[in-house]
Amino acid sequence: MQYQTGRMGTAEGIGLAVIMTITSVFSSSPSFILEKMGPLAWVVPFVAGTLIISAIFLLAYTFNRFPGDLVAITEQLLGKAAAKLICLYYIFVFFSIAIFLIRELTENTLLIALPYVDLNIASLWYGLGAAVIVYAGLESIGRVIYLALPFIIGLILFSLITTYPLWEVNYLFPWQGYGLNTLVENSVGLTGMQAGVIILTIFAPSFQTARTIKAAAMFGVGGVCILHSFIFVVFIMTFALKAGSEKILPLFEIARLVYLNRYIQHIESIFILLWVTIGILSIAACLFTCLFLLSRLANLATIRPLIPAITFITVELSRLPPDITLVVKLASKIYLSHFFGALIFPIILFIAAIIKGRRKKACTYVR
Amino acid sequence: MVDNIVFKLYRSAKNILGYQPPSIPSPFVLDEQRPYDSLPRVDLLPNNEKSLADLAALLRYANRLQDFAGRMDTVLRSNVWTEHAKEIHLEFAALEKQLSELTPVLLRYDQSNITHNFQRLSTSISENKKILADIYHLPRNTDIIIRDFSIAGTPRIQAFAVFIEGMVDNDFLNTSMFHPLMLFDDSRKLYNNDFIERIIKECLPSTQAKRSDSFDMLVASVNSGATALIFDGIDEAIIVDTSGWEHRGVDRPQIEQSVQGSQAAFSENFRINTGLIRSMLRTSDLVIETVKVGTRSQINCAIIYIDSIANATLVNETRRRIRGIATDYLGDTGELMQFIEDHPSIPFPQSLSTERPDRVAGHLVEGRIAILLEGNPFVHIVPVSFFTFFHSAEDFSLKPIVVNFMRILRLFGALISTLLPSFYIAISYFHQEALPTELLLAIAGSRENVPFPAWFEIFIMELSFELIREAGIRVPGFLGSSVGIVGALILGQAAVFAHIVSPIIVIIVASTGLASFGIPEYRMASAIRIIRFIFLILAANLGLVGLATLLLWIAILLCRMKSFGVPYMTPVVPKTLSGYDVVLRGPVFQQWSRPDALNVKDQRRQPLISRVWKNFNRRND
Amino acid sequence: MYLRPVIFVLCTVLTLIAAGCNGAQELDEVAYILSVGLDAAPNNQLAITYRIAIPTTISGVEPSQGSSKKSSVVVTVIAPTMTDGRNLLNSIISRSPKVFHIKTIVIGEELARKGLSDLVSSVMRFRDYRETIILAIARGSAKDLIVANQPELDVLPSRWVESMFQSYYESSYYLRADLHQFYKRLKNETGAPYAVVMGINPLSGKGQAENRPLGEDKGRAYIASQIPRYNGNPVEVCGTAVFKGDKLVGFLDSKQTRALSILLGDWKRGFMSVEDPLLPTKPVNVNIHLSGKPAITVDISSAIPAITIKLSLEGEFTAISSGINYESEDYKVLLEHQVSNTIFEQILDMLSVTQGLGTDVVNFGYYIRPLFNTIQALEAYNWNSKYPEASITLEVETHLRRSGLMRKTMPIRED
Repeated sequence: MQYQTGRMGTAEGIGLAVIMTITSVFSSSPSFILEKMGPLAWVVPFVAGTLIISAIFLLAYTFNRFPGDLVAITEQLLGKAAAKLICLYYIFVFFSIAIFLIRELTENTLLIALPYVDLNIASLWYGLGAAVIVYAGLESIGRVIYLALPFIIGLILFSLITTYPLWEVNYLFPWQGYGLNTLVENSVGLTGMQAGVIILTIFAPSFQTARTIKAAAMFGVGGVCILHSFIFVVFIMTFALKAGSEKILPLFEIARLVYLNRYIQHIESIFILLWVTIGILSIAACLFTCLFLLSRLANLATIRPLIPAITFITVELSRLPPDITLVVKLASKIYLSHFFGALIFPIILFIAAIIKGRRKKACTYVR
Repeated sequence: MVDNIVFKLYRSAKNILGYQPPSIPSPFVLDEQRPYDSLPRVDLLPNNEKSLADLAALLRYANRLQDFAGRMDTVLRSNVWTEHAKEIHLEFAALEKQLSELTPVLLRYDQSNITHNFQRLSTSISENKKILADIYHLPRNTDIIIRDFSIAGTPRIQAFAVFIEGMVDNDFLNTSMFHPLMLFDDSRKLYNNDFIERIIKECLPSTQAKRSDSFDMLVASVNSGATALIFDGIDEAIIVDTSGWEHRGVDRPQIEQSVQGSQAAFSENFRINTGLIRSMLRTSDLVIETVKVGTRSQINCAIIYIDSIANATLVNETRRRIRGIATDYLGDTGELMQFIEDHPSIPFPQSLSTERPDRVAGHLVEGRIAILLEGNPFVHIVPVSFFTFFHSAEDFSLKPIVVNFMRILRLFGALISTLLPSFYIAISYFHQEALPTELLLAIAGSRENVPFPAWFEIFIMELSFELIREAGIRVPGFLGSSVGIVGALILGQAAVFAHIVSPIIVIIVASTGLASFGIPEYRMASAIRIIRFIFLILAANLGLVGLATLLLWIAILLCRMKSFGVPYMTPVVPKTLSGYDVVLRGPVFQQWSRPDALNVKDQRRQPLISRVWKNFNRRND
Repeated sequence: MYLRPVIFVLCTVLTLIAAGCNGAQELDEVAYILSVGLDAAPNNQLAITYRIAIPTTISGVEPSQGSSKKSSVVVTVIAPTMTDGRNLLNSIISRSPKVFHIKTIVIGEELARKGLSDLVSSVMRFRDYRETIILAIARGSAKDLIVANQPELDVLPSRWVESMFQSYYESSYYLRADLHQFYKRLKNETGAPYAVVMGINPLSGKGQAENRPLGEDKGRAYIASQIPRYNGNPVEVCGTAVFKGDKLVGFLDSKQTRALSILLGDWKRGFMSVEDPLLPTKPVNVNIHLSGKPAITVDISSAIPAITIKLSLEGEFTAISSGINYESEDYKVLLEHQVSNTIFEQILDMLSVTQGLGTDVVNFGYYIRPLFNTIQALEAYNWNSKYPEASITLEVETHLRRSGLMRKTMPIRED
């Protein structure tokens, strides 16, 4: 196989957890959630993060009793047919995330970075960028993200904090927004968007111990959730409810507002470096997982010949929706359906593990 | 089931469509689960009580022997031998018998001493040779010479001399040591009286000669260039000072100048180079193995490492790779490294090349391996990580704050030299809103009379800068350095006046070139020069999107590379303990451990408190 | 061995090159528009004035035809919308006009009174416009204003705008009113948008026809184009334009703007000349600033909301013409009282004007937000309708702490 067993550490794990969740930071989610929930929107990333982290912790408990990765455990607990079905389901999950990411990235490029580029060139370019990285393997993806993480976080925080003169705290009140009952349905959507964190369990044998997976989930997802929530808070303080619900790219708009003096303004072009890197890496990670699961399903020896074909299919599928509003609508519906893979299925496995593993002892940690 | 055409077709389709990857051996990865990586711990010897009992028995025997000798002394002096003869005989026989019983204990005690250094010489010449072979890891160590000879006299005395070739003065050895011992007066009877004293006083016309009976002093002197003479039947050795390695006959370093620090560099002679390294690291654990490379003309290639630190798997792998080169003639270390590297086609260097012995010594102590080829003054050190290329030779001789500032400056320079021209092109073509208005209008105004597009201007100026740099290497003598930068700037100024380029391009290209000179390693700077052009092409085509994509691809490439089994971006990713010397450097008294990624045998380099004087009260002496 | 990667790279490079330059433009192929002016024109059209920069003036390079000392050129186009105007501009200017360096949008008074919803919707949607653009209302027509603007200290008019709005805090007679706060107050539940007022001064040395000296303040209050002066750039910036929704409803003059900036907590410092309490013909100059943000609380328990404002000012003396020893404690109290009274009256005057217009420029509605639990409750309360009747209680407290370089004034010798 492409990877070496048992060698990825917490650093790569954090990298993978971050890359699957940080793309939602650059999306339109703040404005949608703000429209439905009002100033309570900043609680949503915490709820979504908690749900995802608890799902990973439940699965880590399962790993302590049954060896293998997610598909192998499903085979042991729920049978071979269920394992194949789940494999197919997760292929669908990651494939759809990759398709929507390519489309969103292309749309963002046409909106912000290169307004006059051809749509075909942009989406093919991103497909190419992701395909080259899939050849390199998952370990390299995790490492690059861990390497770039201080710069990413630093740049985002810089642009958030330099809009300090425009913050008006009272716009975070009335704190219940449109009512507390709106919290549940919106958190479900965001949790589904972060379903990719299951990647940590699909590649579980490549990580050193179950504790690595838990630490990676906690720090990676937790950190991104705090950042996401901070972005919500700054967005609400800067734009307030009504003006904020109109924006399509909230973080970009915050970056455009930065005006410290005559020289520190117009910094949003630096952001292009940031979200292009993050976007391509997340597409690559999703494609790699999708191909890996495909090879698990069909017992292929390697995934390398499939990479150009699957990339091309992904790019073509991403061009299907004719306009951006349909893309956003479809994306929100499909991300909602990912909630099953993000939380419900780990709970099912956990319950099955408790029932079946009552007599099994937990294995001790290696080292 | 019956094997008919349906299944045959299915199988042939599967063979065509189902791709089986070619079976190549898995790449070499230096990891932790090997059996012989760490030294066996001395304090974990089993059977502690048993050894205590053995030692007690030996002590009792010694006491008994001492009593017996005292009694013998009084008996013989007081001349009452005849009465006590029988009991003395009996006691003697009993002592001999006890000795034979205790001999296995004695042997076990002797052999369990891991380090021979506190051992005394034995009277048997072959025993001494065996102990010396153990200490110096013979026959792997090929420049420790054991030279057997016999001394003129009646009878002819067998002896051997131990010295390190390359550190001794050969003329002196021949004329003043071997000549008088081997060729003069045949009729001396040397075994009478004090043999050693007679040899020293009568036969060795050398300036310094002393005697020693323990191995630690012998080994320490031989490591410093002395010669030890060991004789058959005598349990002492003569140590003659014959040191004569090359010092300051070697030249100054050509490309690795340093303000403070030694100014010696390697030369082309093999033994001179190994002598220089030996002079820096005077320990018996330093092993210099010689392998011959090339089939038609065999050149010496040395693998240098410290045996008690370097990982044995790494050493074996290096040896395997060098032995596995099959070529006619290999004359250059660069060629050699390309034969044995993990990724020879990627321009980023995977080994550190240096011409300074102090740098080599520093890296050897950290657990790395040095590869030296005869006829080439550059030594390559493996395995290295990406951040090692931004350390310079005198990083540890200056204070931390100064050094950290310089290191950050170098990394910043590397970033600028890669990205600045492409950044300018991307922003000026696609993202014009990122420039401040005055700067934007100033550049736009100055481009008014320039007929070429911006990417062409940068391309021309970069190309001419590279040409000037290449020309500056070949211009002889004192003109060489002045042609370089000054020529470039004057050329740029003239180009601006002729309205071929705009002024800001000259500034950008000049800063880029200067920044690339700040990188200490020449091959890393060359790699960055190459990828700078690819960045230019992508930035002119796709703006910051192209720039970001290529930056990402280069980062993925760096994270995927290995240098002799060690990942290239250690210790940042994958995260390993590093000792405080990766990007920034910590104080010298906090460098406790060697780099974790090298999986060395002995992790600890200095104790936690390395400035012992600080924690004790000052005394008045 | 290298054949496949080489072919792959060649194909990619050829595709990229053959696909065109993706909208890349050289720096000297673009015409940079620095400011835009909008006026109402007959037949439901707009008169759009563009000020375009000439790069060679700032770079010092002489262009091929004879040099002109002007740093920018002004063009006015009559078109129904801004986008159409840009299309027409392309036929007038040789390079492609781009708007991403616009620093200010000037709107004529007549157009502002009709409503700004068209302008605002197009500006917020197109990616080249930012929210840090200054919004200004011209007294008269924007075209005349832009043409008449000849900055003397700055080479570029964009520099003039940026410097002007970076130094507003020296007097706070005008505010830095950008598109961001305009849009935020336009769309959110409470608050009225405001913009800066610019005008052309006749340079005749006569101010506005009638001005009312307010309270004990010796200085007079003006709106832009009313300052009595000779010479200098004909265009001046002074005062605030107040909007209800997207329509202009009124102006605040310089003193009222200063009062507004005090209540917004944005006032950094300012000079003030008050009448000497013991010798009213002579002025006393002080330099005062806020010692902390104003403490504003709104009480909505009764049908009429009650706003309580507590201000605390600090300052120093800069001139005492009469020579009375105001530096000592007994006299200082008088002066502090005088200053407090002046500020008190100016603020109340401003608030009465805004209450009369029905526009909550200070945005007191911001302070009632924590008192509600849900957005529905806040919207149901409808603060904007309750603001004109709100009762306002104001307390101003001044402390004059320093006295400059002199500790007392000795009298001038009488011969």
